[in-house]
Amino acid sequence: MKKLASPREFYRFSGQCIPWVWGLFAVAFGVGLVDGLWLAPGDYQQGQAYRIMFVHVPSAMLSLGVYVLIASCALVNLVWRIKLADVIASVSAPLGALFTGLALFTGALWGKPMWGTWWIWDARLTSELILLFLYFGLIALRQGIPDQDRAAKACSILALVGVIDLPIIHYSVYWWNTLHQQSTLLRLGAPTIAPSMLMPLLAMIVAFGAYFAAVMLMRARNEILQRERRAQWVREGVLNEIQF
Amino acid sequence: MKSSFNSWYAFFSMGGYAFYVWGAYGSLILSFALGAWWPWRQRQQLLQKLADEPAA
Repeated sequence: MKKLASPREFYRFSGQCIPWVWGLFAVAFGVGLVDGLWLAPGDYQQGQAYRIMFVHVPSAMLSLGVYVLIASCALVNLVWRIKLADVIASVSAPLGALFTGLALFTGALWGKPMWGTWWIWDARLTSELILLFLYFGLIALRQGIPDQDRAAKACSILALVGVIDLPIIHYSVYWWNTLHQQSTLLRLGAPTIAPSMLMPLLAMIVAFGAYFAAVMLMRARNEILQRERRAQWVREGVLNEIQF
Repeated sequence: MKSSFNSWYAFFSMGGYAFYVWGAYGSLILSFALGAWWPWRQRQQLLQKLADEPAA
């Protein structure tokens, strides 16, 4: 594990992992799409509109999960000053914003036919919107500070301060009277969903996770190339045109 | 494996919710495609830039 903290070793290792992670994504995504769109039965109340769940729920879960990763990397960077942690945090923020935006957009598409409105200032939706602003803040702060070390420190502090939003998002449906339903999966007790709908949902969650991992690793490799461009191993790799 | 739909028309119409369901999946495909294409394109540009830069 300690070896992987070296940018060169991480670059090499991640390059080997990426094709396998894309393979996992392809299989899980294919299974999730076919099962979720074609095989799973319609809902007795929501009809076929509920199939938006197979996009909305994984997006929402990843929006929170990616922030947990960023906050963890922020802590590692601040305490142990491991630069790779900052690389992962910086490349993950745009992906986190993507998942959060997708969760809000698909939530609106689901809300209009079911609730009769595209948007409501409900505790869950509002706190998720704040999460999107936090991601935008991380991205803007990173780009706004030219010095890399200062940018890393500032973004790490912002990421850790923003962690307070995560339990608010998750518990909002229990703490307040919200339009958004309570948790189906991440709850004490068994999931409150039929197995025929649970299977494609789990497949899509795996697919989304694999997608994030693959794209994050690709972005991290680019970031390492950029940061280490003066290093000998980078110059040799580019000049020798090896499988890099 | 039996489909839950009786016909292709029923599948594409999604019980009258076609706009919302296909809108959601369309936005997913589009965002995933762009999200994957971007780092690939960035890598091509970066390798070219590194190759063009003089050695330190």
